[in-house]
Amino acid sequence: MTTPDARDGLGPQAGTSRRRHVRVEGLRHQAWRARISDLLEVMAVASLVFVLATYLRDGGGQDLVSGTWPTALISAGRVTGLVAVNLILIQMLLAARVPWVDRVYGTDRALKAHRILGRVTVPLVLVHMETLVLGYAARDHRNVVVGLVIEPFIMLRDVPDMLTAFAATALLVVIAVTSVRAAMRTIGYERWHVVHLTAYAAVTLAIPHQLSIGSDLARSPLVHAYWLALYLGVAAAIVWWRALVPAYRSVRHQLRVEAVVDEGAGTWSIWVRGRDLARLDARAGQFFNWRFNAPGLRAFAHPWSLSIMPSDRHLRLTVRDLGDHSRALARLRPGTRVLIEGPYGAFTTARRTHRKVLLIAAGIGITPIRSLAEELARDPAVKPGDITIAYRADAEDQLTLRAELEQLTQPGSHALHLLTGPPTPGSWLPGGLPGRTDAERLGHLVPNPRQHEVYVCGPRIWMDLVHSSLRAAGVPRGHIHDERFSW
Amino acid sequence: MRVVTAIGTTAAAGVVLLASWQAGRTGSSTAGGVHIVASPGGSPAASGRSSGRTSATRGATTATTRTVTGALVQTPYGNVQVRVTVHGNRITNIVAVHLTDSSNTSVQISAGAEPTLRSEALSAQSAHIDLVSGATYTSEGYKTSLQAALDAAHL
Repeated sequence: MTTPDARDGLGPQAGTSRRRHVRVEGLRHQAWRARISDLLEVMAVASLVFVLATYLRDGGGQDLVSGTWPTALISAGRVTGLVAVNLILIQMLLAARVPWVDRVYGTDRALKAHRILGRVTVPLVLVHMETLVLGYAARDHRNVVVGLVIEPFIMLRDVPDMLTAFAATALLVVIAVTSVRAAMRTIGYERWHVVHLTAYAAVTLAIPHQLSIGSDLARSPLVHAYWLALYLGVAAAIVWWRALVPAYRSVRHQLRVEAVVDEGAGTWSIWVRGRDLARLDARAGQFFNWRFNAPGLRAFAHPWSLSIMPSDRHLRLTVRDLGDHSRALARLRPGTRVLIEGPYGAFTTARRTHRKVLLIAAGIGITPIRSLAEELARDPAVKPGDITIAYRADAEDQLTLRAELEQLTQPGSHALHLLTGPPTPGSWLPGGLPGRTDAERLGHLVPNPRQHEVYVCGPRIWMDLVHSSLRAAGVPRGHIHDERFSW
Repeated sequence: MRVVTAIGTTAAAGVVLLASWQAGRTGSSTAGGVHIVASPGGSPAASGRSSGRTSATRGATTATTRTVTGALVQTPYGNVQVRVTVHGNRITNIVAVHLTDSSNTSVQISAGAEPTLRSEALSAQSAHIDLVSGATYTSEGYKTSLQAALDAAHL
């Protein structure tokens, strides 16, 4: 590690130009993100507009507003189906770990958008199904109740590819139900993940009925080609970024467990050794999905952040005992093969435009913060006092990686605030600090927070409290970066 | 999304959707993909072939029976064509000359839909009938061909 004195030896001018470099690079990165996010969002909107336009051009809108009851219902069924498929494919792209999406929004944000979209797409699919069932029932002059019960069976008999379509809908409903937070917690990550993977089957099962009876698709070769291209594009992105690239990297870099170190407080650091790791282009603050080739572990990949700055030979993750899976990691033997997916995440110093950095962590959220602190402390542009770390835990013995943090912030260099104490309602800080609000208390810890680039990592609700106190202290939204861990 | 991009995208999307809506209004009489390709007898939409006697005088009350073959309508799943028997101002019978036949499924679907379409049209005494579940193209083709036949029969 470079000492602060050695960095001072670079002279004030070198320091100033490098600091300007931080700002220029940060702004350039921001501009790039703005451009790419605009491009991606315009593409998403354009795909929806295209689908809606072809539907309207075929008189779908007319049918909807001025058709007879059955015609209007069937028309509503058509448009909800078209929009639902388009949105589901966007949803799949959001979860496909496409590097652009990952670097612009961060995997956590992309997956949040995926989640929110899911609240739209699954109901849309149900509306699609029900309006068509009702529309056909009305056409056949059945009343609503009888129609709802009987029409699906008539459709199964008379309409092609209805069995697969109904199966796809049922799968989507199961996926949606198991993805409600409470249900996810009950069944656990592994089972949730297995259920979620059936989404690929659901989307595939829905294709036959779209091609055989989806009149909007068959009507024009252009729409047909668009639909095909969309499916193929999404499938290619998933196969490439979720399967081929991770497989290649796992083989190429030959990763193996080197050591498992007990860090106390029910946490373990796993050192992973590999070759040419610089080629991974991993940065401090990012995470991988790790899969260990050991009994009981090889079936699932789990997301854990890097807890040191990655080097050409080593990666390290630090894991808290959150269940059977994390506990099994403690028994990993050196030499165990490690398969990786990643690096993922936009929680990096690339987004920084301020010289001063405030790093706030709670609990095991310290892991990406620890690696960011290391990268920053090694950065010659960073002057002593530029880094402030605020580390929150329920008790002193829960402060994982404390010694490493103290070394990074040895006296005379940077600031480390260890904030321990039982949780206080409505506050992210422990009790007993001066100040009436969290924003005031923060001001006592960190003079002038608004001049800092802020990185936050911890439990979701805690981060929300941090976020609002930072905003109250005058930190602009664009300078607050967080990593939302919860899957 | 940046504000300028958002405004631009919204405006463009609005224009495209409005234009499509407008196109849908004017072109909604025939659905896309369903085209009249041939009308036997050479008249633009349908041919009227009189069988039986035609009334000699205008306004005569004698009812005549005519058979009119509708337009041959092309759909992505095969051609559809109907023949209508008209007695006076009443449609007395409709026979499907051609139904979609691109695959066994198409044949099944249209064979299943045809009786419904026929009875709907006979009771409605017009081509203004609803589409049959899962047989959108057969229905559209059927309606188009029937309308052409009715136009030719001046009904």
